[in-house]
Amino acid sequence: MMKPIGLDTFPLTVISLIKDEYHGDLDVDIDLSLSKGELCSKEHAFSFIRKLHFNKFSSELLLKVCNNSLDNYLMNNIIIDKSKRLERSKGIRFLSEILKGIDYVLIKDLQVPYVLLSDIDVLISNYIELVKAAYVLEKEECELFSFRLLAHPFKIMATNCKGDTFQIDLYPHPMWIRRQVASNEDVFQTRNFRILDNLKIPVPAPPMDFYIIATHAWSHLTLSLAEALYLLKISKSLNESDWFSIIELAYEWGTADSIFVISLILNILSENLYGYRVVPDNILEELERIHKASNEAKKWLKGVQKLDFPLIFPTYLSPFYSSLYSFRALRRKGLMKAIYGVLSIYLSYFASKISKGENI
Amino acid sequence: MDKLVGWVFTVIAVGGISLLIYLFFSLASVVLKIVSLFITLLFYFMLVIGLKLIIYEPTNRTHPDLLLKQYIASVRPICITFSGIDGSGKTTQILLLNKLLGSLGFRTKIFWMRWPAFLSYPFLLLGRIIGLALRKEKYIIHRYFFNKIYAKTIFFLLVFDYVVRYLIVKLLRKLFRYHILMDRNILDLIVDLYDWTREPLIFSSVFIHLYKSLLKDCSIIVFDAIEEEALKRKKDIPSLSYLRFRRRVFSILVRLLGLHIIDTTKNSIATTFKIALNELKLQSLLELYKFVQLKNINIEQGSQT
Repeated sequence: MMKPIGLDTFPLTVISLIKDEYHGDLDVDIDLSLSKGELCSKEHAFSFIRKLHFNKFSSELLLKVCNNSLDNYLMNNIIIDKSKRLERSKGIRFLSEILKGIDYVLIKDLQVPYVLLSDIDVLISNYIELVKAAYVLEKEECELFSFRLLAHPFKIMATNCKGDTFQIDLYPHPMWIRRQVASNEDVFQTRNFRILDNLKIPVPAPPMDFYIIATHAWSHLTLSLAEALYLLKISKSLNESDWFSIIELAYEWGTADSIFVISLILNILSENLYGYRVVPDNILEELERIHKASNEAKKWLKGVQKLDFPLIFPTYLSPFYSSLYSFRALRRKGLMKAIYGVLSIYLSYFASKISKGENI
Repeated sequence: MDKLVGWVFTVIAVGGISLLIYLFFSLASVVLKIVSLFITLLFYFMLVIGLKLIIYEPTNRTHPDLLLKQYIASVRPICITFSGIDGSGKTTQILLLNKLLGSLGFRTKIFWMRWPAFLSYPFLLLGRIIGLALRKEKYIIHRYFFNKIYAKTIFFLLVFDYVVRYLIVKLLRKLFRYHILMDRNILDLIVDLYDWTREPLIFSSVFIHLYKSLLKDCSIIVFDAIEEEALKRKKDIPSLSYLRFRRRVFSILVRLLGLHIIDTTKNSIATTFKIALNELKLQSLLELYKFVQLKNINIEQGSQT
């Protein structure tokens, strides 16, 4: 039996600040962990904003408590964050209009209040559609960039579309750095639509959304609070067959370790917020059965005193145990695929360390 | 930063490889030699990453045309073959497909596979001399079924010639990375051979397996049209009965091999082409073609203004 792990001051503060905008999804009774004066002091506010950014939150959150008591530097930061969020929404509207004839889904779009995402990630169904999308973006005067080593050569980054600053990343596969975690068919067969500003945007189905965000966080060795809260939100809506579809995918692509560890974290979070575990026990047991190194993950979490975000996964879990597990799992698909899978895990690890997740 | 990492990787890898080569030649134990070879491979991988980081920037300015080229280069050479009676529209469709693929930048080559004769030429000449093949107006009528041994020999030789020709085509595809478009294939030869020889071996399970293996690397479509329509389309068809016989044999072969038929009788060339592209799962290429054409038109208009 694991000892109960509490939440640190930072996640508690953020949750208490965003709960009003969460429309009942985060209907929990949490008071601000820090006093207003403490939070709005120049020194503390500066480090708080840094931490908010690491956790993919906008510094606008500070406005909810500090109002006019912030100095110019912090106010500027808040204005910049606000404009970034507006630019991103503008980018999504722009995309939905120009990519009308193209088969795509918007991925890694965290539906959490005050979330601050650096780019718009779009998965395209196949290479031909991707080339078509590139022609469309070029027509819209976007500057296109591609990658050589740290991403798939067909991954395109589009910026400066008609002078706008939002950045669009077009993915040819659900692939983080060089590690593919699902097939395009898996995502496109079950896609849903989300209404954003009266526009119908194709997005992955909730189980797939969960899987994509969890594996992405794992490959970048960090789980931000925004990701954790969004995953928690999706988890609440998943039924048993959804969970088993996630397990099936994780088994096929050798990613059960990431789902297992993130499920444990979500259970800690949900126990603290709602008083119950959001990931059912039978699902965790099934994941444990597939992922043999689950004890190591449990040991790591036992050592955690209080859950703070961004949560950085230890090196021995990812990439070390992860590569051992993935080799065994991907061996079913062939030796070369297993070797490539292991190398891609280490490449992801080094790339994440070097670039800290930027542009990959 | 990435260039620096690239240099660090390259220096370590070159040093490691040099040391391991030295160890390989100085070590006496075979096991240690194998181990050193294995470690060399790891250093080699490191060297490749290092060089890539130095030579290429992680982000490069790109262009849709460049992406299209990259995509085309990444596609493994394909083989597409069309089959069917004379006048069913095979050649028209293969030319259209060739134009579509060519305009997108694919390297294609059309091979006409109806007449593979090489070794069989002397025997075919002998057939003419002994009267088993007769010229009637513009056409040659083959009646090898009058002589059972001759019929069998011609059947085996022509199938052998086809296999050789097909293997050469495959080799060319591998060597030059062509996308192969085959106008007709073994099925058309078999239909002709059945007309000329009435050889029952043609439908034996061994030969059916052979036809399947000769077609397995290719996407195959069989075109069909009613005899009257086919006769209208093509002027050099001997007679309606000639087409009727061939349609019957084709339908037997299609059933035996589990192939798909596209009836072109009532369809326009464009409609048939769209159906064929759907069958080949290449419909998205047509959309891409429209994009590229539209872009070219825009460029032309821009240069004129």
